[in-house]
Amino acid sequence: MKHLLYSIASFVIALMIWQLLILLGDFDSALFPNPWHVAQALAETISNGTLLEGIAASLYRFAVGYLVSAVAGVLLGLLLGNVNVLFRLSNPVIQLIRPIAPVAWMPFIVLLMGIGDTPAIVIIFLAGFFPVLLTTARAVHTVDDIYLKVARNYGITKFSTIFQITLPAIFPQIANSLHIALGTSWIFLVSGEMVGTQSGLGFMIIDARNNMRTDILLATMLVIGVIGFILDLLIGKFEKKVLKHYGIH
Amino acid sequence: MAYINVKNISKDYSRREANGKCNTIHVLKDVSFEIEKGEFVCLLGFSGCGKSTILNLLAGFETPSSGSVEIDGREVTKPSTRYITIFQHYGLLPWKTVQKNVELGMEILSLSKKDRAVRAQHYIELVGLKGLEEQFPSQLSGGQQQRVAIARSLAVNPDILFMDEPFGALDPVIRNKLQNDLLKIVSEQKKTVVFVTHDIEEAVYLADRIFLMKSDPGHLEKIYDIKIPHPRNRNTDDFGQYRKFIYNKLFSIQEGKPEYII
Ligand SMILES: Nc1ncnc2c1ncn2[C@@H]1O[C@H](COP(=O)(O)OP(=O)(O)OP(=O)(O)O)[C@@H](O)[C@H]1O
Ligand SMILES: [Mg+2]
Repeated sequence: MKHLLYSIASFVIALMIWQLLILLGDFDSALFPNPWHVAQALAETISNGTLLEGIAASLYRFAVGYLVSAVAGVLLGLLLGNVNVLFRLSNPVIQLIRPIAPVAWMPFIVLLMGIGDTPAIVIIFLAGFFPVLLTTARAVHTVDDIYLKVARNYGITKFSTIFQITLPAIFPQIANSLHIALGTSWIFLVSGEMVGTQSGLGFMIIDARNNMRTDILLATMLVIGVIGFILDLLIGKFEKKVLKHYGIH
Repeated sequence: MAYINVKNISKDYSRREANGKCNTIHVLKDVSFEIEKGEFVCLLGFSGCGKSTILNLLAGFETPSSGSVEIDGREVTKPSTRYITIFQHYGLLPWKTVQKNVELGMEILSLSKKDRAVRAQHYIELVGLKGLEEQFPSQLSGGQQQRVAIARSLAVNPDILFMDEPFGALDPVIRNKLQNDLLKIVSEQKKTVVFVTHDIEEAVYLADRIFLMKSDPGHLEKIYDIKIPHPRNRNTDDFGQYRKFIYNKLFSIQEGKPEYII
């Protein structure tokens, strides 16, 4: 209850500061719309369908890119974590590629594959893949020796050990990296869509800028924030559920 | 030929020192002993004398630097479900329920799902945990968790139990109860047990024979036959005698000389 009150207060204060800036700042109202105009723009994009279209396009790319990065990151991470030769062979190159911002890949990917869904999906993939991969590979080495002894003692095969012992043992660490990857992926999705696509929330921002519709621009930004927040909430719930399934409270 | 046959085993580890040099440390030196089928042997000694190391070698988790370990006429080279190790901190998988933990070892026995459940149930009841099947280890007390570990090991019907300070973390009442239950189960099921402890009383209470170990490097100092019939009583003279002998040996106190306490 208290939490809710604080949340409401937080938004009211933010709106007041926003309104205050407009009153004091003497901005061109077309360049810096007030909250009411932004709300109207939001209603407009909802009623003419552009917002839902944009959200659908973005979420689709996000879902594909994020899921592929999560699954590939965890599976390859388990592989690298278990086969030391592979880890040592790939780690130097991974460390070199990792600091390249996903957005920096964009021109190259667009030139290679053209604009459309693919570049945005690749960007999300790149944003999520490396953190999940490295966290998983490193976490494999943190598994308590006693669990591995138990597995050997009871004749559980190496392959089965990976999924019965290693994966659940390191799941909290993987979940944490998936959580972080979700946030960064969403952030990079928008920047990806601003360059390489003709649809989606990122594109709506560019489109609004080109048409000088700052009200739509701000409305879209708000929607991006809200969806990011909801996604974070959902993965938090998922994390809890799986941890509970594994008896970790 | 004895059932467990340990011949002149030594174990060295190399350890990197603070100055970067590698040092070889001799953890065990020239240890030999034999254990007969159905015996209950306690390894007794101070911390660091190599008790766990011996157990790891017997169980096949590690290989000796020299010498050999044979069980039932065959050289031990890797772990096997015929001899199961039970650890001080139970080694239960926290993400599996009691039922699933006990079923863990049945994966390689080709049993149907139903047979596994029935068999697990049998051993859960045997150790007195009926009704707790769906709990996770974190929801159980230490004593209950160790009972789960015992049920899990019995469920694969091993010939030998290796136990590494299994009751070390439990309070005295629970510990005594588990000692009695363990003695009952292993004598009924005719298991061979090698049990590590640094508690003299526990060793005298449980063991047919006590292997007293000392360190630097780890070796067997003396073997005691405990000729007190079961059930044993901790308050008898016999019991007290054994306890005293072993205490004096462990602390290198000469018989007849007064014991100074500082
Ligand atoms: N993997 C290892 N590398 C280096 N040294 C080791 C290793 N394992 C054990 N040692 C050393 O071997 C010695 C004996 O260890 P061990 O665990 O067998 O003792 P312990 O008798 O079981 O002691 P405790 O009662 O504390 O469990 C110790 O000095 C320990 O530091
Ligand atoms: Mg030990």
